[in-house]
Amino acid sequence: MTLHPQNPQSDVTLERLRDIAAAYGADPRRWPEGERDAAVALMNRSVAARDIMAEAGALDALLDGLPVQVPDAALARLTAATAFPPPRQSSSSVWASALDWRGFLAADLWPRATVFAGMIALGIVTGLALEPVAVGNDAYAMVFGDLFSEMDEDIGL
Amino acid sequence: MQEDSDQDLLRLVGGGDRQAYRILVERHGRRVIAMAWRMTGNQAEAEDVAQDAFLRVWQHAGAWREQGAKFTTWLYRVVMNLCLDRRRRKPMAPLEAAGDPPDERPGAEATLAAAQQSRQVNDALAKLPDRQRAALVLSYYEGLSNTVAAAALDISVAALESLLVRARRALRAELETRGVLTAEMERS
Repeated sequence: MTLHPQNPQSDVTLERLRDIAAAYGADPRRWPEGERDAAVALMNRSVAARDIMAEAGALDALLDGLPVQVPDAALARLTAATAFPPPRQSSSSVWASALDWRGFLAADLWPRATVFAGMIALGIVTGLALEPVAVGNDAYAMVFGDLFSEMDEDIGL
Repeated sequence: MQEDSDQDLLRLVGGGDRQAYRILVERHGRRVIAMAWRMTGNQAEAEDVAQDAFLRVWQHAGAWREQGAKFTTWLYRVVMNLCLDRRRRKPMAPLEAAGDPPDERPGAEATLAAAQQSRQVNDALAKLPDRQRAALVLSYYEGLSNTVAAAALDISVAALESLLVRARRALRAELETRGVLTAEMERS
């Protein structure tokens, strides 16, 4: 699969058209602007290209069966709810509330602080348990490795 | 009279201009709610996300600087992050069903079949991993260009395409398993 190649307008192959359909569906309006004209031209002259689009179009038709119509009342509620925004919080008042324990809890910082303390403890324990001691990027990857691999897996890297 | 650009309005909002803020909310509110609705599967929650997102616009307008990205790209990123954060705390349901009463009129059977099909598609969408669903919402449903959708998710265009391919592949497999998508449909 050739995802997002650098080739502009001039050269859209059947393989690339298959990738475009696999990612964006059959409607040219959703295709990458730089490749759209060439992809449409290929579709117009190739039966194989039209077959690819028919396959993608079947899924599109199902996805299009789920319209979301935001009612006017929802926009009116949003407009009313935001009509009188609260005074802006300056950075100094954020710190003031963080230093006051009641403000600290109210500011929803407590869970983050707990996680942070846990990570420090984990770092200490891990650092004591492993030789040689990891520093810099290695130590960072050790603590956050799982998070990164989960994200990479999600985006297919 | 020419409309103020988002950037002009944001500058005014940064100075505390509520009228400019209201225009921004009215201009982008509907799309923000729709986007959040598709992500959370729930209208009330989508409205909460929209309020939260615009509150952040108000709070940070003074500090916002145009650095190659448009205001809307930043706004969509805020909305997506709020939705993803909520989904992490609470798995989302499919889009709410309308819950219409049984219909006895001619054609009601076809309507019922269409509703059932929509429900199946809805369930399949709800099963997608968060970031795949986010990519699909921005690119497919909101029709954002690949560069804007990628920027809103803070990923490269190649990574966006990868998410979209995986999302559509997963949807196709799920819908084929449910018998909603057939080889015959894909040939026609």
